[in-house]
Amino acid sequence: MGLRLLTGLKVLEVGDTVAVAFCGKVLADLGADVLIVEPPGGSPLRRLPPYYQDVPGTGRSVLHNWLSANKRSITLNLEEERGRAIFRELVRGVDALVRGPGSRLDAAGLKAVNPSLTAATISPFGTDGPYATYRANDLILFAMSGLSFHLACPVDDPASTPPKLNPGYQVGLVAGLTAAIATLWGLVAAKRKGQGVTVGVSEWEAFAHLLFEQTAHLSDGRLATDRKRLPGTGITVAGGLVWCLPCSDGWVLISPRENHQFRQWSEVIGEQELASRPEFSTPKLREQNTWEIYERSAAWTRLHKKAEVFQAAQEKKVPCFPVSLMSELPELEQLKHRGFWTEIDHPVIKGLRYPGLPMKTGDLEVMASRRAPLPGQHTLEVVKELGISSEEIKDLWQMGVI
Amino acid sequence: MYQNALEGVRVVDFSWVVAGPYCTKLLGLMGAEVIKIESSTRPQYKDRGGWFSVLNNSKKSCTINLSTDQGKALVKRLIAASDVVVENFSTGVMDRLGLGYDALKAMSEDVIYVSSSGLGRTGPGRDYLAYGTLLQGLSGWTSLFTEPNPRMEGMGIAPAWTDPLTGLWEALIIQAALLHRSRTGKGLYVDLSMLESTIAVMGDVFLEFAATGRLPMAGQSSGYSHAVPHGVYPCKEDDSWIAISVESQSEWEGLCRVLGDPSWRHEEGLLTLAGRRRNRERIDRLLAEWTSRMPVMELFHKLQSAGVPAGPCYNLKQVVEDPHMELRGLFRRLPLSDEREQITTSVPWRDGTDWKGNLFKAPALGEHNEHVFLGILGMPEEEYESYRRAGILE
Repeated sequence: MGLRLLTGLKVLEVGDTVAVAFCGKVLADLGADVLIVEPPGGSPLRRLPPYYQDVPGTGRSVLHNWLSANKRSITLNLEEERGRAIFRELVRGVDALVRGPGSRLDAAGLKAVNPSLTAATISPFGTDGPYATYRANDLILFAMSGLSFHLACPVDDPASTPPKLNPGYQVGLVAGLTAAIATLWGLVAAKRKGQGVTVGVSEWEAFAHLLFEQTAHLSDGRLATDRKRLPGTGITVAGGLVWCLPCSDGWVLISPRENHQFRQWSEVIGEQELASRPEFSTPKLREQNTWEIYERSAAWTRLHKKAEVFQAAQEKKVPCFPVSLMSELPELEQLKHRGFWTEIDHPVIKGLRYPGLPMKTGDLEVMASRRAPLPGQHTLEVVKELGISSEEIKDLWQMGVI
Repeated sequence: MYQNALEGVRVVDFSWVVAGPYCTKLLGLMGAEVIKIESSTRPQYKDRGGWFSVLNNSKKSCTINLSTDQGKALVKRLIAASDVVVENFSTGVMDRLGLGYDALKAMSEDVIYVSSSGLGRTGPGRDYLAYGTLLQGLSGWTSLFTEPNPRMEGMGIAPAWTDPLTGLWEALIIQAALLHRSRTGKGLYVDLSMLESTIAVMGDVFLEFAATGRLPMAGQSSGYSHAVPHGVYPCKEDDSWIAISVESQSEWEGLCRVLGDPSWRHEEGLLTLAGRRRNRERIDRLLAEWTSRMPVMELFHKLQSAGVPAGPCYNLKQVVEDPHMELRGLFRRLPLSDEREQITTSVPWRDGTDWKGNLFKAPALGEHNEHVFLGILGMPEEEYESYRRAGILE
């Protein structure tokens, strides 16, 4: 699924990181014409697991098909001067360039070619500062941003409970989304300035930016710098106490944080007496005396399925949801009803559903998703758009420039 | 200043708690005039410390009693003079106030209206009460880190995740809608779901399951199956850990150099990547023995100097105090009204100049009433006073 909001916007994507690809994906899904510039043979992103049916091979990267859907592809040998000349022509015709670290494209040169270009670079630590040349992947940045530490906090025994590892490319994806915001900012800023702007996104910063609550706790002295749990206390997030309760077939998360919600919840579990006890009369007191509430709640929820607990709680206006496994996501009625999942027609990868854009709008035409392009699938059409003659195209092809 | 790219864009912000305010702060940092619609009779607006003050930088505040007809009429006048409306009330609230999209579009054809909610404004789940944290469970995010457990240890409950992600998607779609409007003259209604906002950035882990049938778990995604070692290892100081991830032969050789060329590296089983994959646990054990004698920061710089991807498991205080981060200027200190100082975030990108966003401290409740009513709406002072006396502006 895509939306035609950015129709007319032309973007070049150069780089082989998840962050660059997701930035381009977000813009493409919103209707921009995103052209991936790949080396002959295709980008290393095409080799990223997971593979369709868990078998590697050409065109089998499911992740690549998701990240590169709705884009076009040109293969270009940037080691060759004639390849670089075509690249400069491409730069001349676009509004924005999104690129990864280490791409040998010099900023001044780009500016000379296209003075109104918005040039965004996404790199682990940014392009200046003492760590500019440090190496990092998602694991390293996940750890350095504070997420590993704070996800595993509090725990009973920090020494035997290491900080958490990333489950995938969360840093890259969040940085890509942030870079899409920054790129759109750059386009407007460039118009106001009357000339192009550069945009530098550090993946580390983009990710650390999410930890607003920990940032606030720095100033009010409440930041946990010790992972050891204080006895008895529960977990509150953004001011609300949360419980994870066992059911006969899984778990629910529930947060009857306000007094009226807590009263309603005690009714759901048939323990109305809880709500009248002074030690549970305020959110703060319930946080300090959390485990008795937990035990009394769990005694009831253990007897029911998670769907039943969730329904019973929501009927009484108590915020509660089942904890999903990845396998359960495609079955969620709400997502099906809203058409959240996207299908992408692909000659090899069949029958998979992909996450779509997280929004609906009644006012815009929705476009079907196009599969990720083959390497260089659009090379000919793109070089023709540049006005290069058929003879020259043959020549470039034969020389391995395109 | 050209960097205030959204200068001239006025946002009427009904949003509260986290997701909406996270979005409108970003818009404010980009130069938009964000006007929070608040009420002195709603208790959640009274506590303006803690994360409120981080999420509400770069905004103005006015107070309007929306339970009165005059209050509703006033806010409509303000919307007529604005570009964007952001709200995240429960489904139906804005319609009941007469402030739903259709009503506002009739008045302001090109309004951009972003309505964010837990599960979206349509479908069987539209009325469920939701908090971002609980949606982290429903989205599958919490299950990526560990099995659910009563004490929620390591479950992905905190830090808040769904809320800030929703804020990012909202900011993105508003910028795209503004570009679309400048091209076509058309407004837009956006029904944004927090659940979907979370899953929309989980394509990697969702597809891992969909394609292979394996449930992805922290640290075990197939994207890193070739990296050995790949994990966090204890260091010398209490509860200090370092993340190390070696993906290539040259990184492996760099690691061995820092380790002082230990004899085991020459064992036949460890010479090749395939061998190291088979001996992953042994390498982890040997490495942890060694890292646990090393100070974490010394190790970090040593490994990086040898070209080995590594980084300390920081808490947020350490993130903020890190010299590189400090130099980049993401975290800023802002003076507060009571002579205290606050640490907050600015815009998460740079443009090669000193610009770090249009950052100023969060407003006091109703601090900009005069600006909004006398200035923007051009209300005569007597009328403003009469509204005040009648409790419309409270």
